[in-house]
Amino acid sequence: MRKSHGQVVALALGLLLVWQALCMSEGWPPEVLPAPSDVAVAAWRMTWSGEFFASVWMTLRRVAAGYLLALVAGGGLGIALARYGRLASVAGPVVRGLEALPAICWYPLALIWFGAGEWMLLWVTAVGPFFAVASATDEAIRAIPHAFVKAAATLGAGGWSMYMRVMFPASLPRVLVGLRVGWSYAWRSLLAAELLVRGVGLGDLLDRGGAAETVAAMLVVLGLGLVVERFGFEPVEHRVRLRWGA
Amino acid sequence: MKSGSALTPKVILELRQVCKDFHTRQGRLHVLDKVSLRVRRGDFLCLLGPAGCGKSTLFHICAGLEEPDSGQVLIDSQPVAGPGPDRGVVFQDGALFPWLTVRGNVEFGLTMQNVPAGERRERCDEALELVRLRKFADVNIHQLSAGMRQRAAIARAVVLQPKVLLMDEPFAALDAQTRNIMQEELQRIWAQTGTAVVFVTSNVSEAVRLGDRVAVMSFRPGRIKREVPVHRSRPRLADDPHLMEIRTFLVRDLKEDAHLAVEEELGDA
Repeated sequence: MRKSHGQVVALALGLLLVWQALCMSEGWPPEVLPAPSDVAVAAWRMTWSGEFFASVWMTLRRVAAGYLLALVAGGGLGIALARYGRLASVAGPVVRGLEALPAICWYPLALIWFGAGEWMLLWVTAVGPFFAVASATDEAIRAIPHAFVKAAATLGAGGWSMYMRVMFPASLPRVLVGLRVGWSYAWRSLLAAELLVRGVGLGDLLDRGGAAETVAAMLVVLGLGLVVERFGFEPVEHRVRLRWGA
Repeated sequence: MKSGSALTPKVILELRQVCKDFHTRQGRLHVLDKVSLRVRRGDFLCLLGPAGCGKSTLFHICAGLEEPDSGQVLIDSQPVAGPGPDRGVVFQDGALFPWLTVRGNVEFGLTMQNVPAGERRERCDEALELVRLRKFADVNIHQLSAGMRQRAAIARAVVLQPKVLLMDEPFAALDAQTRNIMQEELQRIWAQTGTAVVFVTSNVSEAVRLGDRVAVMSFRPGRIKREVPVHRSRPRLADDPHLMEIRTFLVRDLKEDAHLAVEEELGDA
């Protein structure tokens, strides 16, 4: 894996060169496809005007709030579904069904309920990961090998210690998959919703200026997504895989 | 001191008329029928029977993981209510926690008892020494071989100094060589700790080699149909001719029940 880093960078630089060459060949007007140099100029300007930082800060705050809310509420619902069979038999299929609905489909309804403001964005951001985390948590708890619970009981675990020291770590690998899926739902639907309403935010930044500004904002969105994956989810999943041997 | 207590050690685990039914779509299954057993301090009892005879259910009842419909389970003359550290339990697949190291697993029960960290570490080291896993204390579970996992599972159970060690086909999933080594090791560990052992198995050779007594179970209803004593010094070798004789007798004794079990499994409707 590590060895291919150089090749990835080389490929990216190569694409950048081809892109620049295409734009300089006059076939592509800059309003249609801005050259990398135009994008760099736009990015430089937007950095110094403070637009980038304001947008990034706003969007990160929204995604963090929506995602954390979804984790708490979805995790709670997932635990309840796993714990109470009657609830699961009725609500389980509904939860899994609603997970299949792309979260941005909630946008019109959320707009009616909350207006074009923060509450609407929170709803659209949180609703996707909420259902994803709930169904992943439910499935993860159900998939815990019964032998772990029995062994822990013979070793004196019960009640709270059974939850915290056995059920939680035993379900962690599957829960992490749900967290990752939930994150991508939150990120995607928030940006889509921001694109649809005016105001501060990365989604709005995408559609504010010319093509060069759009590409600059796209690169920021891409970069943030990669940073969260690379420094957020990957190290945690890597450590869990090493430990659990899965 | 009661008279004779020096000759006959105290009864640690006693089952009195234990009955258990399972309710299935086909109707009621009489799994255990008035099973009575006594295990004394230092005993090594093997519970032998064909698959599906109820020995696993009996094991779960002894461990406190299931309740009998009627009858009593006594530990040190006290009725059993749920699982407890007075009974160490080893499962077939070890059931070690993969999110903990070997040490984390062995210390788990001590942590549950709020034993301070220093003492925990000491007792864990002793237990790992006993099963010869001292060097592997900080290794993750998935890095251990199947035999080493069962050693770790034994350490996790004996570290709590149980009155009786309950083992449910602990070597069934091991290859022949590893199984042979683990049988030797278990005899050594048993001799060193003096803990009473109840060892559930469907393997006749294993039962005869390990047990002071072999309790033979019948198939449906599950009953103890006889107890066969095995008087032989230890450590016992797998190919001891005296053991072979008992083995031949037990194989014949089990044959009919084993056939019944297979027919039931294949379901001649």
